[in-house]
Amino acid sequence: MKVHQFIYAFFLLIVAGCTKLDIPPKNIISDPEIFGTSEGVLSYMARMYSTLPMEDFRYNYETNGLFNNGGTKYKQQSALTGEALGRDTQGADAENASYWDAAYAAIRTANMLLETLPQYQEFHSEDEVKTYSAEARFIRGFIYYSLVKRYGGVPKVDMVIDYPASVSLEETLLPRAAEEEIWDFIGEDLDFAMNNLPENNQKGRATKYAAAAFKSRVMLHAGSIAKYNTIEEIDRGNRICGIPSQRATDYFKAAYDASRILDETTKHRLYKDEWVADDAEAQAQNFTHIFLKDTYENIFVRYYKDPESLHNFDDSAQPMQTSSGGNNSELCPTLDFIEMFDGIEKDADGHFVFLDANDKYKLYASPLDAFVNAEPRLKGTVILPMSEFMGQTIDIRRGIWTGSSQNGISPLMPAGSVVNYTNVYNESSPLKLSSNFAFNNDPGNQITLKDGSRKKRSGESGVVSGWDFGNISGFYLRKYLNPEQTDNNGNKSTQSWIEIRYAEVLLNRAEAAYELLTAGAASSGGGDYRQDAFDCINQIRERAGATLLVSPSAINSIDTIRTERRKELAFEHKTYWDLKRWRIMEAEQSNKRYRVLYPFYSTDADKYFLDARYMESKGGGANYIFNFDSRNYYQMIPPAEITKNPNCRQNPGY
Amino acid sequence: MYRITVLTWALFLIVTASFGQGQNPVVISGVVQDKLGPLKGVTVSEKNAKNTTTSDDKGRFTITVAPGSTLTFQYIGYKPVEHVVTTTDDIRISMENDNQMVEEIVVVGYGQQAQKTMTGAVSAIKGEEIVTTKNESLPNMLTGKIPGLRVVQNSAEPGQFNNSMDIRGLGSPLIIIDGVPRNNMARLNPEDIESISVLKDASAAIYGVNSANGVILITTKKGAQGEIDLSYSGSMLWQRPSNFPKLVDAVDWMTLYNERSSHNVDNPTRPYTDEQIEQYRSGELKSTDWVSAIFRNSAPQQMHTLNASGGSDRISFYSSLGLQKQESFLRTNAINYEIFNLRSNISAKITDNLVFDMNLAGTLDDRQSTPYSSSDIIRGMWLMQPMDRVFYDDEQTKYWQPSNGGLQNPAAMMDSDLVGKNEYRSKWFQSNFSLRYDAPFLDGLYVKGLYSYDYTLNENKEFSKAYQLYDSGGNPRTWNAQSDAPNRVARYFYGKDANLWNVQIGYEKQFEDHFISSMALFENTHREGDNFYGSRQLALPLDQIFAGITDKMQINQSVSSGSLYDYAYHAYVGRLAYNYKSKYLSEFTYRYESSSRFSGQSGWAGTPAVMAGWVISEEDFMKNSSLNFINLFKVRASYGRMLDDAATNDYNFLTGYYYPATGGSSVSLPSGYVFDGNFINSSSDKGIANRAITWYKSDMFNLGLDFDAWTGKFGGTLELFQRKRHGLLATRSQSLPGIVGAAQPQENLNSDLTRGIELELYHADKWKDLSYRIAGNISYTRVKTLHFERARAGNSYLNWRQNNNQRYNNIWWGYAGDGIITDWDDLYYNTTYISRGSTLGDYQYLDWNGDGQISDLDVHPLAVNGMVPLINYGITLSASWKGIDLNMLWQGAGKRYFAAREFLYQPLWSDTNALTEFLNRWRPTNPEASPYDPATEWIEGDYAFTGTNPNYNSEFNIQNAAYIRLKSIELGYSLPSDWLTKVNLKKVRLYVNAYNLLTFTKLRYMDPEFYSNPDVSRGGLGDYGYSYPLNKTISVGLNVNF
Repeated sequence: MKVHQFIYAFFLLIVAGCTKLDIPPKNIISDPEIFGTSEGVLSYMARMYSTLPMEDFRYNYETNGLFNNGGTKYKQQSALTGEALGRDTQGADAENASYWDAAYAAIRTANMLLETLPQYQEFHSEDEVKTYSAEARFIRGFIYYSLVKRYGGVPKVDMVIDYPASVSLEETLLPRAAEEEIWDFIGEDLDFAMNNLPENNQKGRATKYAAAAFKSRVMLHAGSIAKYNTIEEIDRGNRICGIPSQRATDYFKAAYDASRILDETTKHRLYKDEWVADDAEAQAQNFTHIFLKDTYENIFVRYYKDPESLHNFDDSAQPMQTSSGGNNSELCPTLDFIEMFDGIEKDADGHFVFLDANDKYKLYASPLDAFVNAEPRLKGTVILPMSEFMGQTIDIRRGIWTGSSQNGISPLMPAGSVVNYTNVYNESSPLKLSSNFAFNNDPGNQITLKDGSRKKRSGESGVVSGWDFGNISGFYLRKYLNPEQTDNNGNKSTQSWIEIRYAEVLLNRAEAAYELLTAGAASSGGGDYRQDAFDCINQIRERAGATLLVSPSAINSIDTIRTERRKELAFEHKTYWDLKRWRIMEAEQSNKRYRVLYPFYSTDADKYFLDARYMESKGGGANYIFNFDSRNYYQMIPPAEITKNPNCRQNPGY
Repeated sequence: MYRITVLTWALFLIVTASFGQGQNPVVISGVVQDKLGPLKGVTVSEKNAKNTTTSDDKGRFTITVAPGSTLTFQYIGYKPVEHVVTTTDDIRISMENDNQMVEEIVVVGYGQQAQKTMTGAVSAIKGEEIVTTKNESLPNMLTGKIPGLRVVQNSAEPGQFNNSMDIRGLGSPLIIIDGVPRNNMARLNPEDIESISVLKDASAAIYGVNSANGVILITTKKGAQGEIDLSYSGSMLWQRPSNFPKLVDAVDWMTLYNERSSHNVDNPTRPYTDEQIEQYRSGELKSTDWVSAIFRNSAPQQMHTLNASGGSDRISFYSSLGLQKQESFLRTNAINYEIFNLRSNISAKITDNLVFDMNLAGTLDDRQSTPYSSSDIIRGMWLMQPMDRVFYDDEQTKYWQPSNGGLQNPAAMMDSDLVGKNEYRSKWFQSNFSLRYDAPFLDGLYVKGLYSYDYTLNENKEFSKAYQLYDSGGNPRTWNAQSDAPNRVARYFYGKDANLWNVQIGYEKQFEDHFISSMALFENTHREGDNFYGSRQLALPLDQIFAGITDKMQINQSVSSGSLYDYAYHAYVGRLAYNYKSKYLSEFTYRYESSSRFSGQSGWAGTPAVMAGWVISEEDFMKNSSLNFINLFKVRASYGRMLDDAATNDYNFLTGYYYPATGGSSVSLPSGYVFDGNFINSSSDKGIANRAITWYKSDMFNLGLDFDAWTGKFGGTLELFQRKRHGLLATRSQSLPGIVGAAQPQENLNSDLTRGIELELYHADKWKDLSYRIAGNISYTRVKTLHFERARAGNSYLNWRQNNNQRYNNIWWGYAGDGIITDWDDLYYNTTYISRGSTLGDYQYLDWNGDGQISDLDVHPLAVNGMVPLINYGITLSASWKGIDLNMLWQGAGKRYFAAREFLYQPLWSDTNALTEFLNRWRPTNPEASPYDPATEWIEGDYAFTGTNPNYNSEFNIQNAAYIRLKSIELGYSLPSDWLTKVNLKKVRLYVNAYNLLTFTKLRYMDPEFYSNPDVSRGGLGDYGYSYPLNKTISVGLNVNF
């Protein structure tokens, strides 16, 4: 009967439509797709590199996500070292956030590749497998370096902790390893990387030379700890803070040897394409272009790309007047930093000379006149007042002196004053200052000059007294700032972060050589450590346009090498760790006020004068006094970790 | 487009209606009635034959029978009547109410049951009770009508359907529409609804792994046999914002500003001079009334439904067409919504034993907005200073840039021509096909099959343009809704398929005193979702993708578990019910289910439920006692286990990778890395898998009592329930050290307990021509945490503060108030520390721990927080007198608290605007007097002197949002039928209706239902008063039956 057929057909049809329950998730990818294909491994690599803890433009010591912070950079690491003053860095801060959970997550990622990739070997060539594994070890070494330089010995995890499948919760509670053991472990990883990485790799990925150069940095750091550290903390028989001093030579030797590996190639050398002998202008430009062009000096670089990957360095460090909105002026180099450079008139204490023989201000047609002979590297590193940037004259001025200049102008404040000008001078004084930009830019408040024209009290970029924005030291940073980035409001920048460049290798080499020399170590290959250090430093100085050292005997103090390093690598987020590893941070920042150089304009003389002084305090009472707490040589392990893992001992002092 | 659809529909109507033709020798017609009047829907059939019909609205029926046969008249709740056909004249049949058989049929899971023998806690509501409230969203029309169903309307923004709805506080319920889980409840045309059943206890367990929060069953209308009934119902509504704060003008603004500046003990100032204030006071300068610049006085809304139903003894149909348009309060109407519903339900008797049903429904909707959300615009409206202007120029071509450079002009933001337009279109196609075969060889045995296919498409377009605002100096400033692009268009497509089929075999029979009903069913569900989006920056201001440039072009896909998925479920379901003499009732259901989301992991899950009841009123001792005025007295109990797998969307039992890596952004941990100048997307590890993860279990116990006395004149229901959930997902992250390098997977660790009570009472009577019914319901629910995975607290105080184990949820911790400082002695000699900036009118907090200072240690439980009030009640009153009918719903809630933030909490917050309410403050009589001078005379007020803000979590800011409101009132008048017959109309009813007309609450300046989210566990955000307000509507409407 038709009806029955109809019923059967209906039921059969729907029963045939029974769906299988074994449906893999659509939005999740599994091991074979990742490790069984080159594209998959590359995407995995991309993750490892993106979480690599470089203290780059996105680094922000103050907030969570230390290494990948997308917010406005109110605080810059360079403002902790005395290289620069930052409006929002009001003292010697420590890292506010901890790099711990993210570090071990990244270590897990590297370990997972090392354990899983061998199961999928057949899908890749032998070389590929070698490279991938070596990169994972390079990355793991990089992460452990970030940990050990902060915390000392940390728990050593060299495999994926297979919780809960094969390890109980108790078995995950690893104690800290000896600090020495971690440094050695990093050394092993980097050796493996050095021996297995190719000389050339995709841009952005590690090479043999990146591993060698990085090893020279790491081992130099370890040697410095062994030599200079005095903190000792023992847990379960392991020295978790500090390295026995007798190991210093081993590490300096390892650093020196690693740096020499770069001798094997001509691929990396100092960038001098635009360098012209005796042409200060060209030398300065050559120096700025290292940081804006992708040069052969670079050994290991992080690249950015619009729109997928951006940072906001230009926003943060931008001069007030070229800022297109957002933040600005977070890095204003100090006079203390400027004074490290050659070619500036300095007194016996090395301080900038701004007064004439009669203790009156020197008068200049332009503040730039005080720096005509300054070493070109300084001009490549900082923007001096009234110099050109982005097609504008960067107008940095504290105020206008409307008093007489007939008998010279006497210092506005007594030497060593820490008091603000506004405490001494008021609106009826000949010194005309501006409290804020609204006031400064109001035509009604401008000062009439001799020729009848009108001039703002402070410069376009400040300095103003009740500052919320604008310059605070008399200088701006030039290094890394991209003059093409006219729209710099927020995250618009794409200049690359140079994690390691050849100049650092030379400086590592010189420092290691000098340390070995003073330790009386025998040189390998018969070379002379002093001569080698001399050659390295002079290579750097020549490119910088600085005065060359006359002979190897000029290498007679570690400070010669250190100062060179601080000038060359300034604002590259290396100095902070240098000061820490040399254990001189405490001495440098003991009740320390940094010095600034404020330009003033005299209406009577129609000239500028420069006032060197301690920084003014900020409205609200922030005095910018730096006191480094020596317990910060070993940072605090996150308390949450100590709570979760009772076997993990806290560093002393916390 | 609508016109074409209307034509198609009309054609369809005609075709289906033509099924209703038939012929036979003797035609009998007449009227069936009871004491009150004509009876609709009485089944009239020829005894021992197959022809059947039902009576219409006026009780009329027409049937063709063999001469001399016997007609039977059957109607639920009435005694059957037999009538022997003698003449062909009109016959008049009177039926008598059978008090013993108030046999209401209620839709339950996979079937129907007689209310009288039901053992579960199921509340049902009929379509006509729903439509007495006129609102754009079905859940709002249910508010207050069903005990235990908690509905809070959070906003009346057109097309957003922003509601919080749950059953008994259990969580988001499963919605079943015509037997199939579906998610478009709010968008259903309420006119299409036959009934809604709410399964509140173990009776929901039959729905298995999605049943833990209860189930709402919606049944749409079917056609009845009889002549074709064509009807129209429609209404026009006018919406106004409900309980909306007002802003101060420039004079008050400057006064408050001066007060705040003078309220500084070290450096008091008065930034605005009297001359400046006088400029506004004299009218020389005008302050801007931002609320009326952005909002209009009323916004229109309209709803129309046209439907037809009818059928023959072989085929019946119901089809309808609904259209609704809602405009917004915005003057530009930049936000608006339109929805179009189409439904066709056909039932055909293929043979005597075989019935085929087909339900088809389609919904199209279209929501428009600017690239700025309503809250962006409303936030702008609240935050503008009254001195800011709307336009820069008098010609009103250039919009003003507000003096606060961080803000944009809300009038510009709502100008679609200027800023662009977003459009969200959705289409639903839903279909059910079912076949039921009643075995002719065994009475009571049937086989049934159902197949359903649903498709949902969302296609969205976002078009934003760069535009300029002009500051006071006439300088343009460029703004953009999209930070990265000047002009940009983006398209989004989401497609979702759902297939469901089931086969069912059942047997149901009454053997004298024994009634048996049994059913077995297999159900297969398969749901898939997919999506993609693309965007381009535009070279031309043209809102089409093709007009874009290839730079910064994007195409991608969302991998969220709600957008890209493929799930399947298999379930075996059984039900066995038995009762003896309708007196001793029992029922057992079981569902055995597995899903692809747990495939191969935790296998199959069973959800058993047992229910039992005792109808005491059926016992002879009761029938024969003086209590026999009680027609029904039933006690019942149920227990069931339900499950929920919603929390396990992310396949936590599998290891794997996310590609591209999730969680970062282009500026913080981008989803990839640049190699060789190319951005390579990265894959990130999902973390540790928990192979043992499973659905959480929910054990529900319910005790119920139903009674009815004096034949429906008075009755009610009382329910007590308790739900224990265990296996709620939580992580042990507190204990796994960071060095493992991965977050601990979620495990089934936590548990909680929900308890509550519901009471429903009704009274109905008739007095002469006046008949009325009044019903009230109230429910109370509270959730208690049983176990919450947490680390040990460091000390006993912290344990008290933080350990929520064995504690009720939603405790609001804060500072108790201790009055206002009213005299200087209070300041000088206070037992607690008072800051030196204090003055009269300042808030005093209770030193709860008595340590002489107000600190965090004084914080203690003050109130309850949470989105939904703990107490909900409703009272409905319906009455009719001759042609006039009245329907009223009073609805209220208690135990809900609200704390305002930002501008609602603090006048001139962040130098923005202030509410007029804040003018009622403590202030010196002479505005220039120092607030710190003891000689100053003060005017008292409710708020402190400007500049003192209450602690957010204190009694000075936490307000009781309990309320009672006239949720809806409808007054209708049906025109006398003798007028209508002249114009060939069956029925015409006119009505006026109001929604949210009156509200009684202590809550200041806000609507008590308004979106409020003070729950700190949810970030403590959201509650800034920037959401689109609720509406208050007045409507006039018309129902016509042709």
